[in-house]
Amino acid sequence: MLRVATRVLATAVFALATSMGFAREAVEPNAVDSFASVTPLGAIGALQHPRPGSCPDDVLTGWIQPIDIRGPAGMEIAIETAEGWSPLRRAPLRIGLVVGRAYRLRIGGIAGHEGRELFPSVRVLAKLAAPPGMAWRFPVEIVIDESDLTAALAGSHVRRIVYASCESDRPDVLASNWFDVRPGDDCLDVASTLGDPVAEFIVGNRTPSPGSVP
Amino acid sequence: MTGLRNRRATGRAIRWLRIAAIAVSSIILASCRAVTLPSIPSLVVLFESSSLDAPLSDHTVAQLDAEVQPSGYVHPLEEIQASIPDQQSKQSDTRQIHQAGLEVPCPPLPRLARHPCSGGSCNSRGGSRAQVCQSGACGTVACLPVACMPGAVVPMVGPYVVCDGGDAYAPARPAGRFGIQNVTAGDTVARYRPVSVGSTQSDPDESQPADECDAEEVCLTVSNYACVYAPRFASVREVSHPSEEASPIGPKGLTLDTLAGAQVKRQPVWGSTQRIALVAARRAEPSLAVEERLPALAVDQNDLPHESDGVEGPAARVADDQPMLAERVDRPRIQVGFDVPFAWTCVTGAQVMVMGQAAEVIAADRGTATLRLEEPGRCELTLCKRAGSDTARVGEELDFTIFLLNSGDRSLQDIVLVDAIPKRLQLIPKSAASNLPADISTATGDDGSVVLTWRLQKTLQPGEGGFVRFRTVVH
Repeated sequence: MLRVATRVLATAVFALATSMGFAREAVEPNAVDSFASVTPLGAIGALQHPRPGSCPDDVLTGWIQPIDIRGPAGMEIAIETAEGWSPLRRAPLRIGLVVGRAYRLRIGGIAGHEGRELFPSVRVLAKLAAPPGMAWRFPVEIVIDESDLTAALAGSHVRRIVYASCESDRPDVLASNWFDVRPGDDCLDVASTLGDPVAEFIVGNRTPSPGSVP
Repeated sequence: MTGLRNRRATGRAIRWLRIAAIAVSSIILASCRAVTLPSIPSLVVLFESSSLDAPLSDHTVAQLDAEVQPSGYVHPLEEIQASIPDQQSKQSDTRQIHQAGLEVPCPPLPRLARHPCSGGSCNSRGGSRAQVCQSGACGTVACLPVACMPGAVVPMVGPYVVCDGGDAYAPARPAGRFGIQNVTAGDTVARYRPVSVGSTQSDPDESQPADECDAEEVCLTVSNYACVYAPRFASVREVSHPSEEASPIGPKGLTLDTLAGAQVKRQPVWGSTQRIALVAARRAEPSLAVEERLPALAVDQNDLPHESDGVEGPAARVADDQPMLAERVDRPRIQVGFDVPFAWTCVTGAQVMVMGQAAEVIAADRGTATLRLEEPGRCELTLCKRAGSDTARVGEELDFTIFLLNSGDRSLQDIVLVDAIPKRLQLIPKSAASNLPADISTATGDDGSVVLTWRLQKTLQPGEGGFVRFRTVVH
């Protein structure tokens, strides 16, 4: 009897110790997946903080594509940086972003909705093949319409795909010209038929995590 | 009896000792499972904490344009390198160090690597300070956050240009005495006539007029393309409400919109008679009929390959049927070009005689010379178009200059230069000018484009030239 009890006790101790090992391994996140699984939207861009001043051309090589964000009159905009949120400033905002990364923005000063803020995200999809030294002069132009902001404040999810037009015989292609795709259509697919998609702007009623906004 | 008791007590003690040993070894074994592999120094990667409460400011990729002067700008690479010792000293407080060990390839997410990744496109030269790109895809600064992207290439689009010049679509041809037809948006064409032999005194070869340059023949010349980088953007929007996110799904996962579109496509209209029967309509459309006739992965048995398929093309047949036409097209008329490989023979000059006539070296570059045989009595007008800038943003002004040169050896008259403004350019009224006496007019072309016309009042002597100019606004 005592021998059986002893073996059961040993087995229990072994199983307990083994399970503790597994638990510790499961709690500790894999270093590779830590960014993808843990970070909220825009946190990757938050690791990259802005620098004041005009952007040197040598910085704009490689993966960085300047964008120019415009909006309705009075709109203020900021970007989440490594040192927190940049101060809200009147649009337009010209900034260099890494291609393929999502950055979180902060939009205030919405006409008719004073005191309310939105936290959209922006992502550059491709880099423009600008002549050498001309990248900063030709940013991707993202124009935020007033209806985007009102729809987002009303609870809708707004996704806007900015494309570079390949049509050289149409004089009416402007950054402020846009249309809504049909329900069920993907605006990225639609934009691909009209040109080369270069940027994605998403705004909804998502509230940032507590403490992330001062 | 006492010895038996002592033996049992000893056995119990040994048994408990075994149990304790098993327990201790199990704990040690289990704890070893949670210990990461010993890291390799060259692959140690510093990860920054994802917590927003402890942000880092070491690698910079986002650049704000603000009011601060550029002189205060600190190169992010220098800042990164300068901060590496601090990172090591402050690892215990706000940053988490994950020794990644043998993990390769690198994940497609940004990480601040002190050493280049094995799968990345950048390598190190002169220590970790200088990141050198092998493929040229990333620069000195952008290498750092993206260095761990194995084989990644920056997706590039463009360039987006607006071009003016050339002769697109249908070839332009003279019409009437001063007109030019088939001028579409973007075309820049000039027509001219050589001065008749007896009416000019400056013609040096009036005794041997060329056959190709008849005084009654109207010649056309086309300018080069002048392209300007001018991208423009537009957008499409998708608004979804939480209650309307799901699209109506029908059988086989097709949305109802798709089914409705398919019904529309399957009702073709053939001329004035519309086939009412659905089956007939489906068979009348070739793609649908083939789809019904054939099983999956089958070949249409009614469409047997012909033995002449791929053997004889229509171009070859035309050449066979009309040999004289092909010969006339291929016959050199005014000039002949030769490519002479100078580099092979180290010859720096060449004298080529073709049919007793000397050839002129008009270009020599990279071991290849282009020769030209010129016949006397040649009439030629050369157009060269230049844009005022290589780049232009939407709304900016852009001016164009067209240079004209009588590059032949006969005088030219009735010169009419036509430029159909591309639709992305808006002509600024009264901006057209010329340094030669000319009648300037604007009209609307067949395709709706604005056609700018200069009709020179002066005869251009050989070697004489001029220029015209106009300004536009980029749209």
